[in-house]
Amino acid sequence: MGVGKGKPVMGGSVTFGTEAEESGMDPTNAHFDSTGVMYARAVYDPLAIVLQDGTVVPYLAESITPNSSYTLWTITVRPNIVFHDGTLCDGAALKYCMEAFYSSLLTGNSLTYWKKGGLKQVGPRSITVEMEHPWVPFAAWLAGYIGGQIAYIFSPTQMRKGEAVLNSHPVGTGPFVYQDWVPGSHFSLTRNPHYWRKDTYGNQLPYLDSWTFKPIVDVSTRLAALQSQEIDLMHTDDDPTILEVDADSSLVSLRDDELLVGEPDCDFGMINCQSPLMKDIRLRQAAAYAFNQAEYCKLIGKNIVYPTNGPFPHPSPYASATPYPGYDLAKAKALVNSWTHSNGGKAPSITYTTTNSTTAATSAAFVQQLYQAAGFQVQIKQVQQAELINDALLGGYDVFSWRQFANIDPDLNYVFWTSAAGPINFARNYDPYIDAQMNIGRQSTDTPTRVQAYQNVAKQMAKDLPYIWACRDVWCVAGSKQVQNWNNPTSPTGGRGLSMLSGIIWPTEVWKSA
Amino acid sequence: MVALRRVGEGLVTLFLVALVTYFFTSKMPGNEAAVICGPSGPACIRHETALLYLNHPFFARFFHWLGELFQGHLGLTLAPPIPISTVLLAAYPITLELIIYSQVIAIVVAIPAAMYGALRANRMFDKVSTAASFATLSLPNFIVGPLLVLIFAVKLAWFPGPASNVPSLWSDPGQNLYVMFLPSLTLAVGSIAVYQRLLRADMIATLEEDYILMARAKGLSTARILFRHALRPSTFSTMTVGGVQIGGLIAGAIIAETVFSLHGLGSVLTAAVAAKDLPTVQAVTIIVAVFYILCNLLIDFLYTLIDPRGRRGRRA
Repeated sequence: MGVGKGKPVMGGSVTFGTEAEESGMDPTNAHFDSTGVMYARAVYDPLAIVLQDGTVVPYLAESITPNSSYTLWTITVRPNIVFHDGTLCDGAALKYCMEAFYSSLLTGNSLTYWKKGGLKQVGPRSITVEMEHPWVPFAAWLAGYIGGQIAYIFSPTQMRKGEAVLNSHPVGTGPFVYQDWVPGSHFSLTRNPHYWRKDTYGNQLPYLDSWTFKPIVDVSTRLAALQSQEIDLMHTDDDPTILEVDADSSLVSLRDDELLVGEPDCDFGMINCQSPLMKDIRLRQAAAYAFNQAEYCKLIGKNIVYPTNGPFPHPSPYASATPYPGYDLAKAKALVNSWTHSNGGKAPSITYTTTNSTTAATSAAFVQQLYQAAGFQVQIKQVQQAELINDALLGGYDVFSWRQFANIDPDLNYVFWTSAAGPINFARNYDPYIDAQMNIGRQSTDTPTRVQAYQNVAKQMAKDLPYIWACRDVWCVAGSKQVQNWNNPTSPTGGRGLSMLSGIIWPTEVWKSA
Repeated sequence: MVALRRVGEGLVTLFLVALVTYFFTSKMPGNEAAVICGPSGPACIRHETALLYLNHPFFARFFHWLGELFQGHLGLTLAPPIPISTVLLAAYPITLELIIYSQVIAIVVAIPAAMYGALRANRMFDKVSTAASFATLSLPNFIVGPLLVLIFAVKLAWFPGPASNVPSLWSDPGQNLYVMFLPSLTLAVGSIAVYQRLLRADMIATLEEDYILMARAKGLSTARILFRHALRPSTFSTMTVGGVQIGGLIAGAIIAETVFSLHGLGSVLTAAVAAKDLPTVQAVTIIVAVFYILCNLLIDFLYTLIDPRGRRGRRA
C-alpha cells in the first residue's frame, strides 16, 4: 500500500493533515515528534536512511564509517550539494551543525558519548566524531527518527542570523523550500528546483510542485477534510478513526502494525518518578495494579491494539516476557491504603495530564475511574501536545498520558531511559542497572548480547515502573487514491526504505496521478 | 457630543478590558519564559524573564505592555517565534467574514420568514416556521457544523469540507463565498431562529397599531405597509439582541472554526490558551474587545437613524 503504480507524474501539490503543530524548525531545539519529523524531512535531508531490513545507509552523507572499535566515526557529505540559500553544504557546514547539536541543551543530552573537542573537520566534505566509548549503532541516530534530530543538517548562514530566524524560517538541503508558515494554519513548501536527487527514470526529485502541512488537531475534522478531498493525506493513531478509515472504500490506508524493525509506539501512563507523590514505589505499583490493560485496549483501543508488558511489544525483535504487574485491584487498594496510613490518612491526589482530543478525554476519564477505584484522587488536565512535551521536559507533572518509543533501534531511546539524559528522561527514572544495560546495548556488536540487554531493560522497567503500560499503539496513514508512492522511500542508491512508522512518511518521492 | 461621549465610554471600556485581560492572563498557570526556553535551563529563563519584562511589578508590566500595544508592537508568538501581528492579520479576515456572512444569511432568511409569519399568524407557514426555529434553537452549532459537513461536503460534495483554502474576498470573491458558506451557515442557524422569533412577535404587535389600520384604510398595498411602515419600528428588539449576540457569535465562531479547521481568531485564541502563549492571548482578546465595542457603537448609531424619538430625546 502507498507504492506508486506506473510512471510518476511531475507537478501538482499535496496537502497533509497532521495531528499537531510544531513548536519550531531549528533542529537543535525543536521537539520533532511524528509531525515534526515529516516537516524536517521536507525541508532538510537526514544524513542517513533506514532500509526495510533495518540497515542504515547514507542519504545526505556519502559515507558514514566507524573505525574498528566504533570510537571514531567519519561522516562525509555528498559533493556539490547546496542549501536553499545557495550556500554550500560541505564539511564546514557539517561541523558547524554538529557543534550546534553538541552545545544545545536539548540535543546535547543525546551526545554524552562524544569526547569533548572530539569533533574535527578532516576534509572539504568530511568530519570525524571521536567517542569516549564505542557507539556501535551511532549511524541510526543520523537517520532522523524521533530522538535522532541531529540527522538534519541546516544552513549555518541561516542559523547565524539567530536561532529564532532558523526556527521560523528553516533552510536546509531538502526536497522542498520553505515558503510560508502560519502556525496552526499551514506550513507551505515549494519544490526545490536544485534538489540533488533523481529517481530511477532520471526525473528530478521531488515530483510535486508544492507540499503543505495542515495541522488539524481534531481527528474527526481531519478525517472529514480527507473525505471531502480538502487534504490528500493524513495520519492518526486514534483507534475509532482508524476503523472509520478502514470502512471508507474511497480511501487507501496503511497501518504500522507489521513493523519488524526496532520497536513500535506504545500507549502508556508516564510517571514522574521524582514527583513528591510518585517517587514512592508503592504508588507506582498501585497504579500498575489498578490499570486494567485488557479492558482499556478493548474499550479505548477498539481491539485494534493489544496490551504490552514493556517497551518492546510483539513483533519487535526485542520482545520478551517481563515481571510487569498485571491488573489486581485488591493489591492496588492495599498499596494505596498502606501509603495513606503512612501519610497522615490522606489519600494520594494526582494530576493526570493528557492531550485535548476527544479520544484523549475519553481515555483519561477511563483511567481516572480505574485509579479512583484503587483509592487515588485523580484530577484530569488537558493540554496541547506541544505543551505536553514542554511539561515533560520541565518535569512538573505526576502522570502523563503518553505515546512514544517507536524507533528503528532501541539505542535511540538511550536519551529517554538513562540517567545521563537529564530532562529528556521525561519519567526521571534514574536506575544504574538500566544505564548499564543501555550501555551494553550501545557498545556491543553482538546482536544476541544487544537483544538480551534491551530485554533486561524492559524487565527492570517492570520493577521500577516509570511507565504504566497500556497497549501497543498503531498508526495509520490514509490518503486519497490519487496520491501515489507515499510509502515507497528509496535511498540514493535505490534501496527500498523503511515503511511508514509512527505516522511518518517521506514527501520526497510522492506524486499525484492525473 | 453624544458620539464623542460614546467613543469616550468605549475607550474606558477598552482600557478596563485590557487591564482585566492582562490581570487574568498573568495569573494563568505557566510561565512564558519557561515555555520559550523549554529544557534550556535557568540562565535562558532569566534572560527571557528580563526580556519580557516579567521581573517587574504588575502595573509596570501592564503599562509597558499597553505602551507597546499602542505602538503596534504585539510581540512574537512563543513557539515558533513569529510576529503576532502576522498571525492576526492572517486570521482576522476569516472570523470577520464568518460573522458578517452568518448575519447576512440570518437576516436574509429571518426577515421574510418573520414578516410572512406575522402577516399570516397562526396559519400553516407560521406554525411550521415557529417549530423549525424552536428546533434550530435547540441545536448547538457543534452539532450543526459536523452534520452540515457530513451531508453537504462528504456525502453530496456540494461544498468544500474542513481545512479548505480560503481565498481572499478581494482576490476571488466567488470562491471565498463558496468556501465560507457552510461555516457561516453553521453560525447563522442560531441567529436565524432568534431574529425570526423576535421580529415576528414585534411585527404582529406593530401590525395592530392604529397607524397601520389607517394605512390599510387608505388602500396602501400589503407590501408597502409591511416594508415602509411596519418593518422599521419592529426591528428595535432584534437590533438590541443583535448587538448583545456579538459576544455569542465570537464564541460560536471558535466552534465553527474548529469544525471547519479555519484559521481565524478563535482558533488562534484557543491554540494560544492551550500553549500558554500569553502575548497572543492578550492580543486576540484586545482585538475581540475592540470589535465588540465598535459593533455596539455602530448599533447605537443605527438606533438613532431608525428611531427619530432617540434623536429628539438626546437633544432634549
